[in-house]
Amino acid sequence: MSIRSRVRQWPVLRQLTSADHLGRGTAVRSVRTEELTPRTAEADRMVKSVCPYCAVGCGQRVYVKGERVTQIEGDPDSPISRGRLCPKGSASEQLVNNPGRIRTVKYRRPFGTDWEDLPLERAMEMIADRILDTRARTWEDTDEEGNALHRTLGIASLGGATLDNEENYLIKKLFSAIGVVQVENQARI
Amino acid sequence: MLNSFVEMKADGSTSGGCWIYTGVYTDGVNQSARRKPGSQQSWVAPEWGWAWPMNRRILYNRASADPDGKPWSERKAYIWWDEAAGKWTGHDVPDFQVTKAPSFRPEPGIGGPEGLAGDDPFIMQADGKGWLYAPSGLLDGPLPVHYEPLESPLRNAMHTQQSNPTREMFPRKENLTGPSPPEPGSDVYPYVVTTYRLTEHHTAGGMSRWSPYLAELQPEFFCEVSPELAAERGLEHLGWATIVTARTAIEARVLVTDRVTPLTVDGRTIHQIGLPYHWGVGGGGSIVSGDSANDVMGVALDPNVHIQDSKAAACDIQPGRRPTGPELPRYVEAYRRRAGISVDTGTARVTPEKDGS
Repeated sequence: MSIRSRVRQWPVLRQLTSADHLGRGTAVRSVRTEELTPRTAEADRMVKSVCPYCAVGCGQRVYVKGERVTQIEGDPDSPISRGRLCPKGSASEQLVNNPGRIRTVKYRRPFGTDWEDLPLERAMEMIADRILDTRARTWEDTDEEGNALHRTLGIASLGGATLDNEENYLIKKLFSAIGVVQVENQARI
Repeated sequence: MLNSFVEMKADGSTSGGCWIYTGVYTDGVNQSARRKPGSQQSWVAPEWGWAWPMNRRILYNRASADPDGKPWSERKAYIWWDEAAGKWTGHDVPDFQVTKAPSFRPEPGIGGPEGLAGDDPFIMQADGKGWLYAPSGLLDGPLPVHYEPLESPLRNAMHTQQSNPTREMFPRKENLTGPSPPEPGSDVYPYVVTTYRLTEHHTAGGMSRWSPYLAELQPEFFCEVSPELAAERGLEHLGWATIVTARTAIEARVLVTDRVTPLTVDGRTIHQIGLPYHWGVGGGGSIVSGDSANDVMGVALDPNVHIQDSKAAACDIQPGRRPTGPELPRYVEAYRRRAGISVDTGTARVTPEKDGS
């Protein structure tokens, strides 16, 4: 860089000679700032989604690079939130990429004091074994007067408020099909 | 795939697992994945996602028009009766039989949907009306009525009956209730404690106390008090305070603001204490932690939908941190003894007529 152009880069001179007399914009912008690119521009693709927190359902734009979420911003197309996000929604990239996020199945055996990692396949087999065993042991075909029951009271399901309609539908369908009648959800009206 | 639940047949030739969701795959397209920008459609935005049932955005929307079918407000016109076309129309999918005119009156003695008149918007109710007086369906009574919370420093100013006589209770030593008037001892817990949320955290903090940004924005559990209460109890802004109820005691940083104004009720000054309920201890690796507001709340439920009476409780507040270890239950027990609390406190369903208060 020549001395002349270095002098021209001097913020005070830029402030005096440009339209940015108060020195709050272009006059004080550094070369480093000029060279920065937002993660939203570097992303391979953008996926439209809905904020995972409360029930408002604000629109989100999820930016992905190398199959990893790199940034999440508000979606101006959403008629519900018109691009805005609250602090939680704005920080949700830290939720999906949190280093403390559990990514394996955790199992605590009877009388165990620590969690153990299990492969998902093995965990699913153990759950299926327990459901089949419990259902067989507690099955009620009829009541004392011979009326059909076709149910088990040995298994219950309790869901949470963030389960969506589709998940609740599948849960109800599965448990009704195997004769479970105690299907509840923590969400109150 | 059915386009609408009205296509369901009673003869078993159709099937539907979740009637309200019928139509979410209309024309084989996942309607809920639609993302047509709000700027390119009406303000109701029917092509952004999908809403059950039938992509209807506001239920009972017949009530947006007056009995004659005209919008109550032109500015807020939502759906209305089109006399020339002989049907309901508007910005949303009408929640009403589309060709039933406002003037329609059923023959006496007809039940079900056909028995509803053209000005009966609440179609899921047997009589199509909105109910202020609910003669059936509620376990406590047909009209709204004021009861004091289960724990209150005040006598019910409206009725002899202090709190809801049909509440569900779980009286045991882990879930003690403090005395309310006319029972003696309520002066031991003279303040009202309530809970609220912060926009920077979510519920008990399991999704937000692990986020560095959010933890930095709201780093510590606090209790919000008025300058008057701070002066009365010697609480120092940003210092520590101990909040104690019949259940236990917790500690929080003191936030003195003029948002929490003392109430004057029945000639008495009643101070309120606000607690955000997003903190807790344990869980491993959370960036911020603190005592849990839920610990000072008791469990009693409303009789209809079993919602916890946990928005208000009676408490005391003192400056400084709470005791720890075996000192904590001793500290809480000393309060209980002074208030005369047993497992039976607060469990009387009917308040005596003459209480002398």
